[in-house]
Amino acid sequence: MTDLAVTLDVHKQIRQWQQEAGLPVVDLQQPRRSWAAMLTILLDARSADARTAALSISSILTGSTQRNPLQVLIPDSEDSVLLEQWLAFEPDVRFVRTVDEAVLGAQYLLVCPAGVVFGSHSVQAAVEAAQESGARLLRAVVDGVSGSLELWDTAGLGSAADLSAAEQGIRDDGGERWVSGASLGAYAAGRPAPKMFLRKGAAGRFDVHVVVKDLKDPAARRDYEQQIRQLESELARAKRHWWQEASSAAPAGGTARRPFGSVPLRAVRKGPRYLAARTALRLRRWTTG
Amino acid sequence: MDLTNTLAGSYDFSLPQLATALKLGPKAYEWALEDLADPARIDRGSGTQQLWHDNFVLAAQSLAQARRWLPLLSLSGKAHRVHLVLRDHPAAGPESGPPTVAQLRSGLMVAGSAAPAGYVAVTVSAGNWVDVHRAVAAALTHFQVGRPGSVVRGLRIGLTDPVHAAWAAGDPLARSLTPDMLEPEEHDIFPVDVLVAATAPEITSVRRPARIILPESGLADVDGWSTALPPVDVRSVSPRGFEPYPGSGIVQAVPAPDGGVAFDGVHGTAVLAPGEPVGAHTVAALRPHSYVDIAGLLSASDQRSASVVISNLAVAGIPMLAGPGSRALQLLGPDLAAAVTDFDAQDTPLRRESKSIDMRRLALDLFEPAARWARWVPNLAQPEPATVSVLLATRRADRVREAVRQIDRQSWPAVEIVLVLHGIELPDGELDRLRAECSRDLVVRTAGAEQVLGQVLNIGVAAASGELLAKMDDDDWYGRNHLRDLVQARRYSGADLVGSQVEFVYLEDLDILTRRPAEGERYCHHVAGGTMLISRQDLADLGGWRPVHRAVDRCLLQAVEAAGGSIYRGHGQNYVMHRYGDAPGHGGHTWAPEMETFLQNSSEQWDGFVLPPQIDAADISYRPPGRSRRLRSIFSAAEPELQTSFPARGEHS
Repeated sequence: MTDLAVTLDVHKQIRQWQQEAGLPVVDLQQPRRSWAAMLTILLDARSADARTAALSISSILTGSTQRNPLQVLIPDSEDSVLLEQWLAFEPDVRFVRTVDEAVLGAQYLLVCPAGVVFGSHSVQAAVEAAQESGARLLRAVVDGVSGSLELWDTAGLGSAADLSAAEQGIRDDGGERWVSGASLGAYAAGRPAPKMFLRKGAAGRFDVHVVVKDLKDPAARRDYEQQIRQLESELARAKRHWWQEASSAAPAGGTARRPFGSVPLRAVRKGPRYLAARTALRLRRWTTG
Repeated sequence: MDLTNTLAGSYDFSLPQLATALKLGPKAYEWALEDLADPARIDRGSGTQQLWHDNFVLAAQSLAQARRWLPLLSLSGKAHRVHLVLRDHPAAGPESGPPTVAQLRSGLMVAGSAAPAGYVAVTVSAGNWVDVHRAVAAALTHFQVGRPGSVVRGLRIGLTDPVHAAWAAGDPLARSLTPDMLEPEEHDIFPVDVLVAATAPEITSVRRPARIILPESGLADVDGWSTALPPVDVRSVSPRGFEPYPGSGIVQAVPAPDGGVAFDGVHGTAVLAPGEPVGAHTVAALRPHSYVDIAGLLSASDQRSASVVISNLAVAGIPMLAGPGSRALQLLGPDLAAAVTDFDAQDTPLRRESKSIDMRRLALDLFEPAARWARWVPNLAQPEPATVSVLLATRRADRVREAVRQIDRQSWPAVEIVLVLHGIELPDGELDRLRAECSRDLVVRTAGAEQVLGQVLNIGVAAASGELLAKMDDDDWYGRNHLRDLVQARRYSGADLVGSQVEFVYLEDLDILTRRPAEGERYCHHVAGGTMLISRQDLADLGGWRPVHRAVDRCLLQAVEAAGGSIYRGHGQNYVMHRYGDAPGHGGHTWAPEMETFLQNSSEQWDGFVLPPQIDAADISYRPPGRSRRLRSIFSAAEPELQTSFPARGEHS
């Protein structure tokens, strides 16, 4: 089997996992940026299987901050091979084997245990929560996931080794803040997404769905014209329906029908066949009794 | 008989406007004015002389003022209709609402309507003549949340001078007495138990009051119980509405030129007229402010009036800034004076609230009407505090000892502990050791493991002998004044069930203390199950605890509201919920949702096992295990141990 065939199989497998988990099935073909980013993400997949890690990765890479570099911390294994094949063409995803290999972002490092599924704006919401509370270490509990999300303010820290002693120091200074994962829109894979995730602050402003189409393309133009004609026909049908409803709702003895309200006039209006039938009926009643 | 319309109380109302709003008819422009503050009104009156009015209108600036004037209306006779008009009641608004009709407990009919001039009017009638005092007392209950009734527990207070109306604290049994009423016939009874007078009247009758209180003679007392300072009407002024996070700055309280008190900076300037009681509207206007600076008040010429205002503010729990050493503070007694001067503008909101709680607790001990009169006339007023039976149902033998100790430490003097062992047995000799260590009555009952929580609690209720029942949990932490504050809250709120909000939660796994947004003291629909206090009789009337295995607290709250009762939430600093690391399977009765629940809307957090100021850490023997290994930072923790794998959609239970 060729390398390309293997990769296609992996993509197919991961799409199936996404489907089973209720996540949007998307391919990861998004524009990326270089490693000189303000925020980097470190996914801790040391204790997770490939499926769990893949679900977290796909939720990260399809979120609003998809252009942030991602590091996947996973030891050499069959699972890591599968993930590496899946993400082989993603230039901003790299795999590390130990914590010390992790690269810190220029300002923030987001550590995420595998198994957490991110909402579209979770990363941005975490950054805003840290900024609003002034926390140097923002942590989020996600029920159903072992471990917690960690958003480190890396300013002043040189390497991951510095962080090993930093947690206690930040705790002692009161610089740590815990929030719920649901408040960031994050939840455990296999569990339902938070029912209501109110994006606050700047994250809410980006919640816009933009569709761009080129009207110079004849197919797109025909499509639009067809949609407009369909809307016009629906409008005309709605008007007819409204007129019929209004007419049937008018009172039987209303002013609009009064000229034709008397019995003789109604009989004349109904024609000679009606008159003949009525005459025959009356004659039959008269002869029988 | 030519009847007049009578206006009593505040005269700064527009009479034509009142007449139109109250629909008084064509004779509404002939008014008799009655000055409730005039001592001559009592001197010239007679207990046997009956006064008659067509319409009697009591116009007051506030509910507190109307309650203060209530005893003075006992000589006002009868009327066809009685109207209570309040200017500053919260219900008063610019929009006029449709009249509402309700049957009062006293059998009177009340028709209330909001008039457009910024006041509310309640009209009381009975189809015939109605006693003015009785009608106003009934109308006042119309505005009152919670149980109506005597605030001095049945003591009958008599007044010979309207200036002493504050000593009755709005009690509906208090009466004004004319000189002829002080001389009852030998076969009759004296109309009151205790008389408040400027000078001791000469009574020749053999029927005499049990005690005569002379307020002026108490000016030299500095132990806090001076008769010169009246009780505080706690149904009008109380800690209700305290704001833990004030939005505005410091207010200056200064003497007004006319002898009253001005609060500079409260929506411009708020002023209390001379003799006008501190009411709910004044307290509400001060609530958003961080502190009231009373330095100006302490330098006023009338130190006694200043002391009265400060005692009201202290009962309301309003933080004040003051230096020590003034006469006004000395009159409050050394403990309360120290609490009033203990505030610091640099305090954190948590510390500010805690100091306010300390101050209001001391002030309520001193100035709550029943407590103050019990001190002044110990043989007449009820001396014993209510006995509280604490229901402690437990399934954890290892927690029993600490839970019993925690209840034993409570500052409320009359406490009985009812321990119900739910499907467990204590080790040999443990019960004897508990009884030996505990200074309270300890009643022990057992319930089978097959019985549900509601049944277990009902077993405890059947064994309890206290007039009040409190439910406490074996795994949470309580301050020493938990029961005292609940009993006080029950008195001043008049609520049928009182408790606290779950504000503080210690998350053992995370090793942090979180605080949910504090909503202050208020009437509400929910309190924490481990903080409920209800009278034994009320619980029996509601059918006891519902015999279900969980949600018994919610069921009781629903039953109270369905029965027309009220629920009041006190401050939350006496209670810390313990969220175990291994919850929800730690074997208790406790409501144990997942951890995210406690982090949602967390307004404040503290690292480590920290307790709010109202709970003394020295009382707690618990030693936290530290942050769970699985929740340490990836950079601090060792390699993870557990394999994380999640079921596909639909497989999750």
